[in-house]
Amino acid sequence: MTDAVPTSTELAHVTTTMERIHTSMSSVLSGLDSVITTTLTTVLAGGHILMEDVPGVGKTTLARALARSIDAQVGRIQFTPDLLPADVTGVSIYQANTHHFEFRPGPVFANVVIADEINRASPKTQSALLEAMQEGSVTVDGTTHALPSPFLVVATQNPIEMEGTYPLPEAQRDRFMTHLSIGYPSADDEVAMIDGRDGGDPLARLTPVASLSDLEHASAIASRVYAAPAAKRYAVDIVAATRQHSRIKLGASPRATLQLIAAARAAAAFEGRNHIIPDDIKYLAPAVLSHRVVLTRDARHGTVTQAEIVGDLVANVPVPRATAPGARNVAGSRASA
Amino acid sequence: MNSASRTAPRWLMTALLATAVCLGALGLSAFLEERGWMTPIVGVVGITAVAVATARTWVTSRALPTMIGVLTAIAVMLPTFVRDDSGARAWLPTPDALAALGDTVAAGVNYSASTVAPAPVTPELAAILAIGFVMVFLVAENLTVSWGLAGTAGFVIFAPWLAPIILSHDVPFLALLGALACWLAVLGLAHRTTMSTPPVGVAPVMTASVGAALAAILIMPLALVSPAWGGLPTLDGPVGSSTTTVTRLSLDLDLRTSLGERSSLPVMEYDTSGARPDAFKLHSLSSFDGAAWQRTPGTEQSTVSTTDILWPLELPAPEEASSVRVDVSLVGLSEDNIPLPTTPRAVDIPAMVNYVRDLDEVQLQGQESVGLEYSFEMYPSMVEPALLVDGNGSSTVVDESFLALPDAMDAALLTQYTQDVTAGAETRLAQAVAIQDHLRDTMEFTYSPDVSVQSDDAVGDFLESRTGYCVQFATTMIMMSRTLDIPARLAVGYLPGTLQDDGTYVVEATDAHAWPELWFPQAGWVRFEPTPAVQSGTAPRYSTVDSVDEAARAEAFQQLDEEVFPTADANPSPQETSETAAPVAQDGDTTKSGRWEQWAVVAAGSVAVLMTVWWLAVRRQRSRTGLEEITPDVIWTELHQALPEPFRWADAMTPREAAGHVVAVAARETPMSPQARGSLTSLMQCVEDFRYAAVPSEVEGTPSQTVMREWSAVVVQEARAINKGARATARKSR
Repeated sequence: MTDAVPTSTELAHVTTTMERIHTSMSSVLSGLDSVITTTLTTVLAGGHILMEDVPGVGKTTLARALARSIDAQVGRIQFTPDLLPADVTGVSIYQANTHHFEFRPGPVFANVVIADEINRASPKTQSALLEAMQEGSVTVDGTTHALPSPFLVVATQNPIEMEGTYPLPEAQRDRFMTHLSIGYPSADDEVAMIDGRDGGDPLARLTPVASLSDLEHASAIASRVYAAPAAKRYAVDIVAATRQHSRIKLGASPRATLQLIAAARAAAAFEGRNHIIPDDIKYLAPAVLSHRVVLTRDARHGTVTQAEIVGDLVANVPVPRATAPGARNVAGSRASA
Repeated sequence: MNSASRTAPRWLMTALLATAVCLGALGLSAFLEERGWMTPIVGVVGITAVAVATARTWVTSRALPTMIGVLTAIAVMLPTFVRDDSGARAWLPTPDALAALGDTVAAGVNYSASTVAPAPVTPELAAILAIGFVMVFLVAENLTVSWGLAGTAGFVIFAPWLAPIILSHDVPFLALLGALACWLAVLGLAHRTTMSTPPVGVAPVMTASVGAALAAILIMPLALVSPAWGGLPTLDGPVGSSTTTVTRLSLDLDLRTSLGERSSLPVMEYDTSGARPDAFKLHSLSSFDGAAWQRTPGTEQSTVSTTDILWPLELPAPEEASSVRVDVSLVGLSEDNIPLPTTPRAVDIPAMVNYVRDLDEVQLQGQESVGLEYSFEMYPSMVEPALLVDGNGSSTVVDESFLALPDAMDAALLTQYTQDVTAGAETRLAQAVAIQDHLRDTMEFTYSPDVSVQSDDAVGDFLESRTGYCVQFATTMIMMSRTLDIPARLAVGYLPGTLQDDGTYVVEATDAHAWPELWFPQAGWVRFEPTPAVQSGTAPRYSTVDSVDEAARAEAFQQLDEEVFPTADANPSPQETSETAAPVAQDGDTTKSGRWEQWAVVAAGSVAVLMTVWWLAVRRQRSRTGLEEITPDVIWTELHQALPEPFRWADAMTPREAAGHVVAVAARETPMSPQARGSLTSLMQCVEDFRYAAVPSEVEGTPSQTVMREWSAVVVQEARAINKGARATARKSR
């Protein structure tokens, strides 16, 4: 990562690339602009996405629309209770003619992996995917196989209250950068959705609008977005606040802070800015933090959700001023965080 | 830019401070005689305050309005205090006018240093008072409005009160209460506005200290430069005895006795058509034995007619206009002589009197002086510096006794001392002034009615202890003058007393006084005043350094005159003197411009010092990593505080959200104007760039503090207007 702050030309590349993908996805998913934006922000930041909602609201469609809009290799895994780790990673098969075991890559060997209903599979199988996400490689029978780059997992899951689900362990939820909820569409959007289906499956009409290299380039640019001390401080303050909130049993980890800043960088780049503003952090905090906090039993038994609690918490953390000594924005005070 | 809603407390503070300062001027009333002097001070301070307040509505600079105030004060003071030669007011700040103002100030400082409280207010004194109070006002105003240091400004505002309070003079209580009330109001207003002013750094504190120090330096001379002002009311006089109703001066003037408690019985009352006399003389003494004075009877006696001008010498005819008529009533004085001023005078008295020329006394012939009423015309301008020249064959005119030094005295030592004191003094007047100034120097001598009895050489004792009262001072000057072959004698009488509310002057027994008279061949016996101002008041107007120059010029001219016209009269007529003033004026110009240069150097030095202090303060402030800098963040916080309640955003709002919040709150009532919205957005963008932007160049591109303040003011004004409208609607609907 070079230290230089992205130039306006570079930022223009990011915005045009991401706008193209956004437009493409919006044509399939009406009324989901902000979810698409968050999704693309996560993609730009190189993070993985966990989508959680009731069946039928378009989680899979969103994931597929993303995959199809990028000229990328797509792998799709439908998680079921009897899915085995080998079904995810691939297996070595004995080839009688060569007397060798030949590795047959599983669906995880793709740039965009759609892990549908990830919480329907057994924890063992979930772990296989999550380890692949963490390591960037898969080890089968003692041989390590590198996953392609970029590697992006879009996992969907049903709310854990539903029957036949295995909730993801906290440590594994932490692997996902953002946690999104789609929600039911508005009446107008639902009508528009019906209209969109008239000419057949709209997904089939999608053509790739951005190449993998475009995306990789954009990601590289986004990672260089400048985070001012005041902005970093704000992210830290918010994450720290999750650890002190009375209704949160387990707060977010320092990794959450890093991912929040990374996501905020992407959001800034998405908007063509070369620096983070607190609005980026504020906007992304519920998505980045809500799946990482564990509510107290009281809170769980109430009607609040993690996202609501994080939202409430963000609304109360003061935005730091740039007045502390050294907090003044000068090049010398920059740290490549 | 229009930001009336924000500046309202500012001009109000300025007005209140001006009021407090003017009331502070009243605090000095114990030191000053009439009340007319308030007008120029109130005028100058008032006009300056208006100028400063107006300037503050147009510029946001901290120093500029005060600079404008300084210039305004100078512009107002020029026509008020400066007249050119033809008597016309000076309206333009020409170098001459400024120099004249400087001269006026210098004269005022001299005057205040040499006068005794309560002092009659001359234009010069009024000028330095006006300057002092304008400075107090400007410093206090700058501290309060520019730096939000209303508390510190209190020290400056109340500094003028310190003098009367410390010296336990009467303090106009209502005026003090008024000034306090004004200051408290300013404190209250300042509290409201300091919330939105930036945090106070070291620079304003330094400015405050420097300002306070300057104010103290400027005010102190007014109050304390002269021990006169710090001194007790006149307690002094030569040893006098008082009976229950009448007072008679004791002429056994023994320098070894301390001055007893004086009575405050009235001795005489008088009305004057002009200036009051410098002193009233009763007796002349010439014989001194080293410790005490003895009276010697006069020899030349003549009957007095009402038209004769009584003076030891024939002087050139006086100008009629210059005379001052004084009506005297000797309510409690029992003497053989009548008190008369120390200038040439004509006496109109309903009694038989003799004028004793060599003693310059008017003696009653067998009539009791108590209850006597008489009047005299005095001609103070007749004893002018041009006459105070050495002339030829000076001391031979008068008796040797006026040059005698007592045996008890160490004449050689005194001669040496006198020569040291008068080193560099060429003329008789210069020597006399040098001696007088030396004795009046409060760093050298202390006025005290108590003396310690030591030896028969009272003058030697006095020069040892450096403490004494008028007789010691006068005697010492006489003896010192005699060592220089200047005939000298002691005069005894009264100081001119105090002005009563009904316009008459009353002289009390405590006003008894003694002073030396020195012989000048062309002017006769001339009064000098070596006793410090604490008791004696001002020195005679001719006994100044300026007069020395004038006399020297007159003498030079006389010599020239004698060389060119050997037959001419040795005594030039006043007319000739005035005619000759023109060519000599060239010399005067050079000395004047020399003084002007001195002033310029002093002014430049002061400016340089102030600039250095300012620069150091600014540098120090800059080095503190922007803590005290006016950052967009600071202005953003100011805006937050200045907005009415519903518009204030929560701490957790980002700048963008905050701007959105303000617009949204406004939209509930009246949508904000595009101008206000634009200002808000621009300011928000500045804050965001300042806090979060990457490259310093972006920060450098931020608009000036002034522009940001204007944006902020536009938003505040609109928000307040909307808020007002909303409340009005709510009230109506109720």
